[in-house]
Amino acid sequence: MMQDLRRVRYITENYINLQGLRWVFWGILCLLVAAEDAGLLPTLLLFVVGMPIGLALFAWSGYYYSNTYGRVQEPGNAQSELLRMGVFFATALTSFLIDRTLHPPIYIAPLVLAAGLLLMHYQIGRPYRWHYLALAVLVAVADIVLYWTNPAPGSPLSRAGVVLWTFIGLTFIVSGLFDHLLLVQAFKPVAEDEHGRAI
Amino acid sequence: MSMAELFEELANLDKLVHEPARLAILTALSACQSADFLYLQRLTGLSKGNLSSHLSKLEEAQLVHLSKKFIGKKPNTQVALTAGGRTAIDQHWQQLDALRTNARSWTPEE
Repeated sequence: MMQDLRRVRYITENYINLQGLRWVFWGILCLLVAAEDAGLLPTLLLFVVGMPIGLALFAWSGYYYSNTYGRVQEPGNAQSELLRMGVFFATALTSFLIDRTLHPPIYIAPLVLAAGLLLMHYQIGRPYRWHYLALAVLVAVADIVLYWTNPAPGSPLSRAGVVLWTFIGLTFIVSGLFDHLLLVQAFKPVAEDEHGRAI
Repeated sequence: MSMAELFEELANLDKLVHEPARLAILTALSACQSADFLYLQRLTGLSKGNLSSHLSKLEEAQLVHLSKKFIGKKPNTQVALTAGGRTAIDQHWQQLDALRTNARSWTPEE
C-alpha cells in the first residue's frame, strides 16, 4: 500500500514532466534540424513545414494527455508554467534562426536548449529528474567542445553539428518514450460500475 | 511501546482518511494544487460511481472542495484539498510514520 501511495505522489508531482510525447516531437524536430545540417532537407522546408508541424504535434500531445489521463494543476501559478514554456520555445526558435542566418562561431541553439531543459525541469522543493540534467550538461559540453575544436571545412569534425543535433534528437526521443511509458504504466485500468457500464 | 499501545495508536487513525481509496485520493491531491475527476479516476482505477461516492464523503467532511466548470463543451470537475484537508493528510502521514517507527523498534516483552 505504501508503495502504491508513493507511486500516486510521484506521478502527481511529476505529471507534466512525465508527458514524454511532448519531448518525442521535440526530438523529431531536432532530427529534422540534423537532416537540414547534413544537406538532406532544404532550410526553407524545415522552417515552413517541419517546425510548424513539430510544434503543432507538441501542442497536440498536451491536449492528448489532458483528455486521456486528466488535468493536474501544479502548486504555484499555472499561468507561469505556460509562460515558461512559451518563453522556452520562442527563445529556442530565435536562437536557431540566429544560428542559421548569422552563423555565430558557437551554436547558440544547443546552449539555449540545455538552459531550457534545466529551467523546465527544475521546480523548487521537487526532486530533480537527473537524466534531463545529464542531457543538458552533455548538450552544452558537446557544443562548447565543437566551438573550441573549430573544425576546418571538409574535415570529419565539420559534420559535428549533424552528430550533435542527431544526438540531441535521439536523446529527447528515448527519454520522452521512457517517461511516457512510465506515466502510462502508472495508471490503472478504470473499473466498471456494478451495472456493467464502462466508465 | 507495548503491543497494546501500538494497537491503540492504530485504532486512533482517522478511518475517513485511512480508507485506501480515500488515502490515495488525498495523497494525490496533497501533491498538487488541484486535479480533475478523470485524473483521479485513472490514477486510482476506481469506477465513476465509486470515486463520486468517496469524493462526496470527503467533501461532506470538508476535506476537499469540488468545483465544476466547462472546458469547451465538456463538463470538468476539479478537486482540491481544503486547508483542513491538507492538515488532515499531513497529520495522517505523521501518524503512519510514527506507527511504522514504533512497530519496527518494538521487541517482545519478557
